[in-house]
Amino acid sequence: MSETSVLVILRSPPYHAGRSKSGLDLAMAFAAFDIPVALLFMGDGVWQLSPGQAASEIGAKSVEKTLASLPLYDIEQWYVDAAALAARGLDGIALPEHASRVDDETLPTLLGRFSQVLVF
Amino acid sequence: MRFSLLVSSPPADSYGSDPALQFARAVVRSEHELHRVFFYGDGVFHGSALAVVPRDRPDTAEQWAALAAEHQVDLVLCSASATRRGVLDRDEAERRAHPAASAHAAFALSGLGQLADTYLLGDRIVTFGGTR
Repeated sequence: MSETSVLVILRSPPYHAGRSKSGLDLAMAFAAFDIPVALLFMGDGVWQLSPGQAASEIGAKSVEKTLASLPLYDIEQWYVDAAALAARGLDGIALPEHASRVDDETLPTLLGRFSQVLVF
Repeated sequence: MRFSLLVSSPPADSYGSDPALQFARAVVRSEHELHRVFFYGDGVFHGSALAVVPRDRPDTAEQWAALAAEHQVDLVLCSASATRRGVLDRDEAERRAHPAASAHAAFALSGLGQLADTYLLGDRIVTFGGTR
C-alpha cells in the first residue's frame, strides 16, 4: 500500500442534502492532485446512475451530467453494486463502459485494493 | 502512525462528532500522532464561534480548540463548505464584504486541495459522519 489510492463510496441518493455531491467534489479534488481515485456506487447511491434526470425541475445541477464529465478528470474506475441496482429495478439501465458490476463476493477484494476508503 | 480525521457530521450529531472528538483524544494519548482534522460539509459547523451551546452540553468548538492547542493539531474547515454555510473567517468576510466573521480563531479555512495533501502526508484517515 505504498501508493495512495482512494475509493469514494457513494451511498446517498442524488439531490439529497448534497451528500453525493460532496463525495464527487472530493473525488475531483483528489484527481486534480493526481491521486488515483475510484468510485463505488452502493445502496441508494445507485440512483445517481439512473438516466434521464430532470434536475432543473427541482432547481438542482444534474448529477447525471457531473458523472458524465468525470472521465475528463481521469475518474474512470467505477464500480456498481449489482444487488443494489437489482433491488431498485435498475438492473436494466445502461452503465458506461468504464463501470464494472460488483457483488458480495468481489467487494472485499475491491475494498482491500485501496489505501483509503471514504463513504458519502 | 500519523492520523488525520475527516468529520462531515454537524456538532449535534452524537453518531459522528462525539466519537470524532473521543477518537482524537485517544490518538493524542497514544504513541500515535494526530496531524489534521478536516471538517467537510455540515462538519464545518464545528468551527462556528457563534453557536450557543446549552449549559449541559459541551462546547465542541472550544473542545477542539483546546485539543489542537495542546497537541499542535491543524483544524481545517473546507472553505467551500464553510462559506456556503456562513462560517467565515475574517479574511473571507472582508473579501466578500460580509458584515461579520463567524469562524472560531482556532480553525483555518482551506480548500479541498489541503484534504488531498492530508491524504498524501498521513498514514491513516478516519472518517466520521458517513451515511446512516
